[in-house]
Amino acid sequence: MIRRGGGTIGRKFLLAGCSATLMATPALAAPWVRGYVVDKYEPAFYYGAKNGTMSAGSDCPKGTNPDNNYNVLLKTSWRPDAEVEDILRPATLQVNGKFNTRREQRLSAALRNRGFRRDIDSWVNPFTAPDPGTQEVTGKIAEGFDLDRNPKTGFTSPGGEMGIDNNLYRVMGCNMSYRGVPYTAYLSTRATDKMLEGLYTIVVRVSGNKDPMNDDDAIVEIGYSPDHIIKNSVGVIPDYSYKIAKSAQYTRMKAKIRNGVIETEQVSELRLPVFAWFENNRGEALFYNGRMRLTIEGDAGLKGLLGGYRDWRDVYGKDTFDTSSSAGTRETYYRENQIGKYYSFKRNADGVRDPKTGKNIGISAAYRFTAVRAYVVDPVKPATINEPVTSSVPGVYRALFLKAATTKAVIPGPPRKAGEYDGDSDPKDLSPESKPTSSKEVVANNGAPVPAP
Amino acid sequence: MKLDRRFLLRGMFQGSAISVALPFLDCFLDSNGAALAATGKRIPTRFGTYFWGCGLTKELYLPKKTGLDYDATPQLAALEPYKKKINLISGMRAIVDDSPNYQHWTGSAAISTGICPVKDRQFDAQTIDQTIAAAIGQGARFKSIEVACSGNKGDSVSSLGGPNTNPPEVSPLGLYTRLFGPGFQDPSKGDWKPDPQVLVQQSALSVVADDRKRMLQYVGANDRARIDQYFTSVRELEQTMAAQLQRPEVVAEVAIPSAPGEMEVNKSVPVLRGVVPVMAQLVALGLATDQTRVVNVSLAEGASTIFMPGDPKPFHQATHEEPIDAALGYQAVTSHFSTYSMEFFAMLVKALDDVKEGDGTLLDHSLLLAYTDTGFAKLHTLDNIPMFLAGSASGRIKTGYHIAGGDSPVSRVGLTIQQAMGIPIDNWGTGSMQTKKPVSEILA
Repeated sequence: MIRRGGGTIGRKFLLAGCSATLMATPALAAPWVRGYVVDKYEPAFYYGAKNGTMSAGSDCPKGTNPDNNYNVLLKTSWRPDAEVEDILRPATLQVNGKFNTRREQRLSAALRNRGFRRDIDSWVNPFTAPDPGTQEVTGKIAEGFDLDRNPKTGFTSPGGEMGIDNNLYRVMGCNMSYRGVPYTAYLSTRATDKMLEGLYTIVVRVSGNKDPMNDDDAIVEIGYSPDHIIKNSVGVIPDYSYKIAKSAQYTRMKAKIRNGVIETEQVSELRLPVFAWFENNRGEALFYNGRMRLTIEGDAGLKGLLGGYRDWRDVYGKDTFDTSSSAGTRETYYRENQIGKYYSFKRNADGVRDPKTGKNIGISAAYRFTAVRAYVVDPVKPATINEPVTSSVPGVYRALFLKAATTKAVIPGPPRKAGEYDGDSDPKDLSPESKPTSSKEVVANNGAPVPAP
Repeated sequence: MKLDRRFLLRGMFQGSAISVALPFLDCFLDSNGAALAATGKRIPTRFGTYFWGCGLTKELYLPKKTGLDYDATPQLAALEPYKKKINLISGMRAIVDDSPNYQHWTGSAAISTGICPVKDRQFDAQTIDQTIAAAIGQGARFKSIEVACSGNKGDSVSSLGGPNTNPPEVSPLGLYTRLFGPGFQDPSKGDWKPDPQVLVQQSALSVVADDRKRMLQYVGANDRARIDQYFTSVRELEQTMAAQLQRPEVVAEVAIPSAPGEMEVNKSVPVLRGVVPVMAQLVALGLATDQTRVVNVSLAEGASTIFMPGDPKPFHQATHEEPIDAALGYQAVTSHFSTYSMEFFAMLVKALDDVKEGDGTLLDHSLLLAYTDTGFAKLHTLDNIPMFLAGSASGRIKTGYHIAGGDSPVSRVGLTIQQAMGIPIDNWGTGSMQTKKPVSEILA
């Protein structure tokens, strides 16, 4: 591992000698290589308002999706109204001497069960709950690619290109966590901060044989680097070296360059690190029929757009089960609705037809990023991916969901552990309800009880 | 005479056989040397921590100026009366290297241990207060005292390492009972008596003295020197105990109040406004009467769920759900909770500064680290984590400064604290958090 701090000097000049001649002065009709490290990365969701994150705009005329109406969501044939009322009591409202300080945890737990029977895990079996409806993007403009090469379907790009396919945006673009001018949405800023902090690193390498600004025979590689991004208080520092891992989360594509705009071929599988904001949800993103467009921005860096079809069941599964109960976080803190999302994914799946069912399992998507100049190097010993430190339980949930979604049979969820850590919210909220604390509860520094006076 | 690591010093006390294992005493004594150096008639320097969750609002707390006489900011208004006795440290960060950023955990653990933890909710080393308590705490009745103002026993931030924390007192009455209940001898009263437990321990050491002399006849010069060194520690322990058998040299002007009644304890801000001042005063009394020299006060957990009755969301939830106000540039409701957290810190500072002690106050003879878990709770950032050092540690720390950390590791503060408290180390932390650079601007 190459550390930050003192180690960075070594990193900065690692292999610089052999790469500098390839990078510093692009030579015409000669082999060349340019490397970049991604410093911002987010879903390419077009924001139809002028500023902020909540305003109504051409994308979402009603503005950002409001908080869920939990009275409606929790209303089932089997759940008494009094139970709903007690769960939803404001955390700060005292009744019978008790605050409801664990309201969000109670609410999250209750939201898991809103199917036609109390014992059904609705996030594993979303089809057992009615579609609550969700505001989808109704605007006409979106970023992305014409993946199906049909200009009559999809959005129009900000530049006027017809047929832009980005239905992930249609499904999720009005949600609070994803809305805002580029790189300002809540989860975008959070994910970028974590990426710069060392959660994961994405590198891009472009190479060719002619002119870096115009080359019909270029190669684009994108992948994971085990090296942490080197930054200071201003931002990512250019010209550091990053190893690239090729074992997974990696794709190599042919490309053509015209006036500094790099267009890759459309590949059957485009793999790279997934957009992530904490340990549990990082990993690989797989885009079917994927492609990229990179625009070189002088010597400083580039901006990129990538797109393709993602298996919507995989997107739903990871979004709902980053942890065993992350759907609860989505449906409370993030004001999203997983059941509504499930139905919206099904409605908007627009690619990758399953030959067995005849239904689409792919949803078109696009992500954008910016990158800073760097050295992307192949180490002597192949670089490997630092796998996330996560529990295997979320994977069990995702598999159960996939089985349920495929068979439409109600699948029981695995038994939950008491106090299971969500990972994305407060793990240890042992908040006491309001009560006088008896001296009998006092313990000494070494754990020994102290007698009451 | 066979000497090995299982060797026991044996003797008789009140008709019963007693034995003392060398490793136990050795370990015990190693942790006492510095404390002994601090005993005598000098006023001891105390150490404390104050922890609050979810950080501050940069737009409201961060002064534009650095150094002395920095500009006042709204979120630090409650601390303004004590500004000259406090250092504000901004712009430092926890560097995770290959460890994950465990939300509401990594930042605070990094500050208190100098290590970004490998596992969630586990400390990779003992917290700094325990390191300091081992050095200065001996001679006091309790090595350290932990207090959770939230009433939640899980909210202690003090640990000997691993997943467990030192159990906190969770109510004013509990804290009072601990400090001034059974076993407490008011040093200002005429009927002061030594602790019977210390008497027993001293007697135990005394009866093994003969065995000690006999053993020395059977070892060579080198071992004799080593064992003599060891027995020096034994003698130091005896002296420590002797100190405990004497009335504490209390110079503070304090009187022990009667026990507080049972109080409602929870995370409601109005309730905390009643509980925290009482807790703070009891903590100050505990330090002033040398019941302990190390205290750890937590307001609530890292993902702080303190709340204001009538507000729709508790603190942590608000950090996630409240949008940034486009006009203000920050989260308005969330910022109130950060301001409350500073008000509670000011209550603790006030309690220590209200106790007159020698030529100054208890605060002047203390060093109080106030810290949190994140720089910006909405994003769980690990840079720009605000910290404070209150008190001058008996003149070892210069105060009244705003120090801009320049993106350096938060472990610099821990190194500074330990050096000020007399711990002989020149570096602290691991990985990219390892530092040899204390905040030299404030080291006297």
